[in-house]
Amino acid sequence: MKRLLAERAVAALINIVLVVVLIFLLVRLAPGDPVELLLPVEATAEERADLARHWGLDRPLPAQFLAYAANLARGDMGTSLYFQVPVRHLLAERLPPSLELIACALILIVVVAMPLGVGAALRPQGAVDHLSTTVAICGLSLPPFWLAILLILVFGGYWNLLPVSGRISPGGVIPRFTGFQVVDSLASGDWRGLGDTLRHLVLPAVSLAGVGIALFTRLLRSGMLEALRQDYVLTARAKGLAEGIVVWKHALRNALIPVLTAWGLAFTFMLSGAVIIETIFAWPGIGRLAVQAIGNRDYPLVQGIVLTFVVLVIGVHLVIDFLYAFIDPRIRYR
Amino acid sequence: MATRGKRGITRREALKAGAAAAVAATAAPAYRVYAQTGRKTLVYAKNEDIGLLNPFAVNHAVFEALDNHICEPLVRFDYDTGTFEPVLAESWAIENAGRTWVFRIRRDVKFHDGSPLTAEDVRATFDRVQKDPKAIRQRVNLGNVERTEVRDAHTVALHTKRPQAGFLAYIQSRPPVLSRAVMEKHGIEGEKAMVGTGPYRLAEYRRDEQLVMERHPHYWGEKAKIDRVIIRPMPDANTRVAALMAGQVDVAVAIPPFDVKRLEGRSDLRLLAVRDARIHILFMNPIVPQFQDKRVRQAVCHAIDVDGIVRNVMEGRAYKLSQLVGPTQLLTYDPNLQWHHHNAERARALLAEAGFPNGFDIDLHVYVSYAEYRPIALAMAEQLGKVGIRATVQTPEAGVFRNKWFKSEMPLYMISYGNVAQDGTAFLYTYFRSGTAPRSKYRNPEVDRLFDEQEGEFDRARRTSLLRRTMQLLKEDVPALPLYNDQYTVGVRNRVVVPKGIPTAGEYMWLWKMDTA
Repeated sequence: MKRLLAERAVAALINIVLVVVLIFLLVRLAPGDPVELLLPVEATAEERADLARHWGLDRPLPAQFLAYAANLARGDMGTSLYFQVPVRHLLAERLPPSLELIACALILIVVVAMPLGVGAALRPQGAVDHLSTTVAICGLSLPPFWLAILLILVFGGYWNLLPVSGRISPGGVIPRFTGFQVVDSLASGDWRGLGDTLRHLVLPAVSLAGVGIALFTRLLRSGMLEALRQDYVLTARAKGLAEGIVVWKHALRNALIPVLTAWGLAFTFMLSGAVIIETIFAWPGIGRLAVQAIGNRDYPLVQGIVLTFVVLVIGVHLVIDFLYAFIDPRIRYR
Repeated sequence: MATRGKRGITRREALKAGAAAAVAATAAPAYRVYAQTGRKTLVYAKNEDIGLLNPFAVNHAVFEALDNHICEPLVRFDYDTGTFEPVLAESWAIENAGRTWVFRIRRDVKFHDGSPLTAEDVRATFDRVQKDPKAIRQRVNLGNVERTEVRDAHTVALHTKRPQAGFLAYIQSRPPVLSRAVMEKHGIEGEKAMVGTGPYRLAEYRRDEQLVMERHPHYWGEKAKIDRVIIRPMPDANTRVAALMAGQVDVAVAIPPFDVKRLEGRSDLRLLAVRDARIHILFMNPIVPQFQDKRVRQAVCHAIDVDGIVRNVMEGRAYKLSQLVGPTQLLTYDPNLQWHHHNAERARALLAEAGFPNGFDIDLHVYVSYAEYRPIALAMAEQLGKVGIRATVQTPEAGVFRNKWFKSEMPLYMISYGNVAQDGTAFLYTYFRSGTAPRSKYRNPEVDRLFDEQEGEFDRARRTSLLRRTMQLLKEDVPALPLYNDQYTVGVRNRVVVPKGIPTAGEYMWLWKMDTA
C-alpha cells in the first residue's frame, strides 16, 4: 500500500508539472493580450508598454516561466492582473462556494439515483423502472444550462418557491470561518442562515446534478441487474438472509464498482459544468471567476484556477482508486 | 430496538436530526432581506459586478454605485436638459483663452467620515488619476490636463495643454472625488478607501455577491429616501427577469428585448424604457482593398436594411440611427442629416461600377458580449448576400476580438460606444481622428482639421456648426454605417417609486431619488 501511495504521488506530481508548463504556454498562445484588454482603447503605445513592463510581460517567455515556476515552488501563485490581489486569496474566496455546490450535487445524485437505479433493477418494467427511464432520458437530453433556465423561470419566476441567484438572500450575512456556508451557519448556530443557504443550493445543485442522476440511475440499474443474477445472491437468499440485506449489502456493493469510477468522472464534469451554472445562478464560485479570468487574459489567475482544477481532479481520482479496495476486497494493488 | 452505529448515534436520532434540518430549511422566509429591521430597503439587480472597489478602475461609468452614489464627480451631464449640472462644483469659469477651467467647490459638503470637502481633495483626486497605476483606465479622459492648482480652500483650477471646448464631457461623472487624507492612508482601492461625499456610504462589499450601501445622513443635497440599497450582480438576463417576476429583487436592469414581452402586461411590475445614448455602428476597415473605394462602402450601406433589423431582430425595441451619433449628442447631431437608405439595386449598381460585378467574400466580425449582435450579424450577412457581398459571420471571444481590432485585422465589424455626453467627440475621436484612432486606420485630413477647430471653439453655435459639418463630411466619406441606439429597459416592482427621468439615457439609475411605498 505504501509503495502504491508513493507511485501514485509521483505520477500525480509529474502530471501537475506537465500541466503547469502546458497551461503557462497555452494561455499565452491564445490570441488576446491582457494589456490590450485591461487598458482603455484610447491608451497610447507608451502606456501599453509601461503596463507590460510592470507585469513582466515584456520579458522572454523562458524568463517569465522561470520566475513563475520559482514563485510557485514557494507556494506563491502570483497576483491577479485585474483584481490586483494574490491569486491564492481569490482561490480561497471562490473555491468553497464551488465545492459546496458540487458536493450538494453529488449528494443529490446518490440520494436520487440510488433508490431509482436499485428500484428499477428489482422490478424491471415496473413503475419505478419506467420512472427511472423517464428521469434518465430527461437528464441526458436537457443541456444543463437549459435545465437551469427552465428551473429558474418555473420555480423562481412563476411559482416563487425558491431563490434564483446567489448563495444567500439579499443583505444576509453568515460569519465566515471555512467559506462553506452550510458549515459556517451550523458552526455559528444560525438556523435561518442554514435554511436560507440550503434553499439557495437547490436549483443550482439540481441543474448541475441532472446529467449525473441520469447516468447513475442507468449505471446502477444495469449493475444491479447483473449482480442480482449472480450465484452469490442466490446463495445469500438460500441462506435465508433478509431481502434488504441481500440487495443493499451484497448486490449493491458489487454494482457500485463501475459507479464509483463514474463518480470521479462526474466530479470532473461538474467542475467544468460549474462554469456555466455559476454564471446563470450568479454563484460566486471558481467557475465564474474562471470565466472572468479568461475574458481578461488574467494569466496568473487562469494558471492558478487551472492548477487548482487539476490538483482537485487528480486528488479525487486518487481517492477513488483507494476506495475500490475498500468496496471490493478482491481488488488489491501490489 | 434502536440500532446504535459505531459513532454512537441511533438511527432514530439521525432521523430526528434530519427532520430538524429539513424543517429549518423550509421554515426560512422567502427571499426578502431576512435580516431586515424595518428600514426601507431596495434590492437592485445589475447585469455585472463592480469587480473592483476602485472608482477609477473603469473608463466608463456604467457602475453608478461608486461614481455617483458613494462618491461624486464635479459635474454630471443631464441627458434630459442636455446640459452639465453642478455636483461638487457649484460653478465653473473658463480663463486664459480656454486653457484654464476654474471650479468653485461647494462649501457645505462633508465626506462620510465627517471631514469637509476642500479644493485640496479635488486636486489630490485629479493628480492621483494622472499618477496612480490603478487609475490608468481613466487617465485618458484627463489627457489634456497639464496641472492642477488650488487657488483657495474652495477653488481649484485645471490647466489644460490646449483649449478644449468639450472638456466637461470628459470629466462628467468621473473622476469621482475622494478624500485626500483617506487616499494617502488607504490608496484608491478597497473598502477602507471608499470614503466619498455621496448620498450613500459603502456598508459592505462581497465580490460577485453583493454591494450594500446605506444612506449618508449628513449628505449635503437631496437626502436619499431609501435607507439601504443592496446591489446584486446577475449576469444572466433570464435570472434577472425571473428574480424580478418573483419579487426577489425590486429593480432589474438591462431587460433584453426578447424578455420584454414576458413582462409586459403583468400587474405587479412595470417597465421603464429610455433611448440609450450607446451607439452601435458597422465599421468598414479602410485598409481592406475593397473598402478603399468609396462606392463599395456606399454599397454596403445601401445593402443593409437597418429598419428591418430594428423591426425584426430587435423586435422594435431599438432606435435607428440616422448618423454616427444619436440625438443625445445634441451638438453634433444634425436633425436634417440622413445616412444612406436601404436600396439593394443601387448597392448592386455601385458594386459593379467599383469593379465588383460579382461581389466579393468578406468576414463580418461581431463582439459576442452583446447577445443581439449575432442575430443582427446574420441578418446583415443575408442582406449583403443579396447584393453579392458574401459575408461570413465571425463571433470571436472578447479577447480575440479586441486583439484583432488592435491589429486592424477585421475587415468589417460591429462595435458600440456608451456614455456619450453632449458632443460625442470622445467616441468620434476614437474612430475617426487620425492619430487618436490607430486601430480604426481611418484618415481624413479635412475631418481632422474640423475636429481641431471645434475643440478650440468656445462659442456654442459656431462649435455646433463645425461638429455638424464634420458629421456631414463623414456621411459623404462613409467610413461606417450607423445602426441603432438601444432601448434600455429596466423592470421595476410596483412598490418602488421612480421619478421621471430615471433611468437616464446614460444607463444611470439615480437611486437616491427613488423611494419605496
